Amino acid sequence: MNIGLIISLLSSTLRLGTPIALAALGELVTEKSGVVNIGIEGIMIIGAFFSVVATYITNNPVVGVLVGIIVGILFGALHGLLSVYLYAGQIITGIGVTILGYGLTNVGNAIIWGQPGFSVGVSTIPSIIIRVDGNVFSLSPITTLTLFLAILLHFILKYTWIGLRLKSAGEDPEAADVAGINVFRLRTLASIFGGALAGFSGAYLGVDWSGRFISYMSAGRGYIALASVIIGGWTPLATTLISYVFGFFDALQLILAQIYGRQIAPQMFQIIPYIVTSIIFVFFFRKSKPPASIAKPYKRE
Amino acid sequence: MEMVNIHKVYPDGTIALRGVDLEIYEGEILGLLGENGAGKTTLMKILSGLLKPTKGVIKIHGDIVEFKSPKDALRYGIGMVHQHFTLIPNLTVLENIVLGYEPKVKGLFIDMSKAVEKLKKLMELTGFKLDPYVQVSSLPVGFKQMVEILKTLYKDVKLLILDEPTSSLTPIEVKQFFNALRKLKEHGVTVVFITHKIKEVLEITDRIVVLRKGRVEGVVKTIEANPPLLAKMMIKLESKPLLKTKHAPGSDILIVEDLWVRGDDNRYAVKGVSFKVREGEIYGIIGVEGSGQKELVEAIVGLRPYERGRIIIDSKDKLLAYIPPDRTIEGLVLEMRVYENSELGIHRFFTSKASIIDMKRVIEHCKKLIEEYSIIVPDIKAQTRFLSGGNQQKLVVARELSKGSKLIIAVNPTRGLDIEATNSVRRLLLELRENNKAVLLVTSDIDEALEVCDRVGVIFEGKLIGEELAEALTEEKLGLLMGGVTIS
Repeated sequence: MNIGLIISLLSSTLRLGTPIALAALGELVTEKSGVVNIGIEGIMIIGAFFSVVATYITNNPVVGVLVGIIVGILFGALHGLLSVYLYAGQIITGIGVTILGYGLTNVGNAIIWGQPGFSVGVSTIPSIIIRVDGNVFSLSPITTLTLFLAILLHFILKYTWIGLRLKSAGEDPEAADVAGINVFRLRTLASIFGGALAGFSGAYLGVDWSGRFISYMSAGRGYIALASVIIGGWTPLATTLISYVFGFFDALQLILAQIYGRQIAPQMFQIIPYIVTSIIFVFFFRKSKPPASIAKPYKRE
Repeated sequence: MEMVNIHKVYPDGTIALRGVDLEIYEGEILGLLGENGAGKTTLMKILSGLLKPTKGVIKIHGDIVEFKSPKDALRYGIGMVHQHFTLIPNLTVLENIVLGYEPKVKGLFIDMSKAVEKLKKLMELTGFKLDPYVQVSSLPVGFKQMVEILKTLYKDVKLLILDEPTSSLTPIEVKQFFNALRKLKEHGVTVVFITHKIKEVLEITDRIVVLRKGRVEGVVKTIEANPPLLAKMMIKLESKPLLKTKHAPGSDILIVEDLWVRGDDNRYAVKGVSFKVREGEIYGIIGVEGSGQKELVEAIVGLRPYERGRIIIDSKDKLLAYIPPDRTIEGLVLEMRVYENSELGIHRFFTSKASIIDMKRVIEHCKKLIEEYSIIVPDIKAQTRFLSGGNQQKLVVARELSKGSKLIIAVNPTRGLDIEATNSVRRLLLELRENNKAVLLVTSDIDEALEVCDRVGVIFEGKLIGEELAEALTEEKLGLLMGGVTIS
């Protein structure tokens, strides 16, 4: 294997793992508080769409990213309010958000750009380019931010009162309530944080990676992020690592498809990351212990 | 501190308090005595800010105060230790104690050294000794109780409310616990002690308030009180002592031989236990919580595999009558309706050939049980969680006994029940004995073992370290055996 291939693989791994890691870190915080949001897939696609729309209008991808995050916050808040204050079934709400996301973005795309499937190209967040022996290694600033965020969350969850309270709300909301913690507010805020990162992750897809909106471009990465959280045992560093492992297999399939795409149908390679997810999941699922009160709405009395 | 004319009606219409006046004096230990459902806990939940009274006010030093949450009450130095632990198992002792009141450094981080310092002072004050860094899930029940109290004291509480604090403690632990309470009193902490155990209020309190059916039945100084007086105030009728007739046991029904069972941690929890239960006999197994009795029973009823030994059940029963230790986990599905719970496990009897359950017959069966065992039910179609603890337990007992099995296995069947319900369950057990059934009664209640059983086996660290006729045992002797002290 030559050095160019390795650099290309590494660069792609970071590029493809980032959306999973971002969404997973957000979901991790949400789940720590006792709320599960399986709708992050939907928030991702909505975030991607609106970030592209905003960039299309302003021609500024940074505005696009901000809009993606704001849309994520709105949907995170929606999910949080429904499941915390109205005791909604969180799985149902999550599925609802996902279906809404696919539908809304497909229709929106057709309305704005008058064509189904994909938008026109928009400008993207510039990457940091490093040249090694004439090989290009590109690193997105968002990737750097994601890695930084993982470390930051590690410290927040482990050493701060915010982490302690978050954990208590997810383990035993009643005990937390008795201890004077506003479980309802905490869970809603955690859902909003998770939504924000899912939106951010979507914006990354739209205005960093591809520079256009493509139907279903989240491609199940929201679900893979959910798996990363579980396999990562609800810890930020392990979850991030796992996300990039998935990113690696995604990168691997792309490169394999590039090399062997003529002989073998590319779909054969595209399934690799999903199969890997399933296999890893089977082996690690039992070992991982979720917050005790996850997905259970908390009611007083 | 004063509570004036407190009324409380729950949203589901249950009237818990019907105008209670209560005064608490600074520095005293006040006993709040009453049956389950008398309103003790509700009253104190109001005082600690967890519930709002429907009517009535709280006064502190003559000023009316209003608590919107437990935090408000804590601001006035009022804190409550609940009957059910409010500890988070996956956090450490220290984390549980500081939760919600973390000393902060740089706004974000927790000042753990400051917290530990304060905790050490509190441990000195109470005489409790604990490692602050162990996970709460690994602590035995008695220690959890200590954490619970330290957690409340950590919030600078001046009035400490304790709801049935001794219900899960062993006799030795209760002594330690009372010593701690006395020390707290010396340091000027006022204590309200909620209980239904007459012996305990007489031992530890200065003054006793008896509640009955949401009203104050009487207030007495502890030195002027005696057990019959308090019992009379609590239940308003003389409780009949249990009658245990002479009864000759028959043949062996349950034989357990050299049984070895592993616990959840994969170590042996039961180490070579052998005993027999005969028909017409109540055989008691008593021990401190965690001595292996849980694993022993689970092995007998088939919930847990056993490594070595034999279990022989000599009867034609197809069904096992099993009254589990925790009715809310193994006994009932609380979200299901009363009549649905009444047929759990015996649904076959009500099922047609086409696999359809005949609900009419189930309801009939349930009505019969309700009448026979005088279970108080808001509605036969209500969710079972709306039944009081005692009635839930009666429902489990009724269902299990309706199986008509020869062998009945009951684990702590009267835990958490009030005197009336306890007596009715114990009477049922004795009736079974009259009817020549074999009863295995696993309990951690010394009185129960002595009152009900014919023979008692004491389990300690997975071994039966003594087996005696109940008549030959005294409370002291049994207490010593439970603590692992064998009498030579």
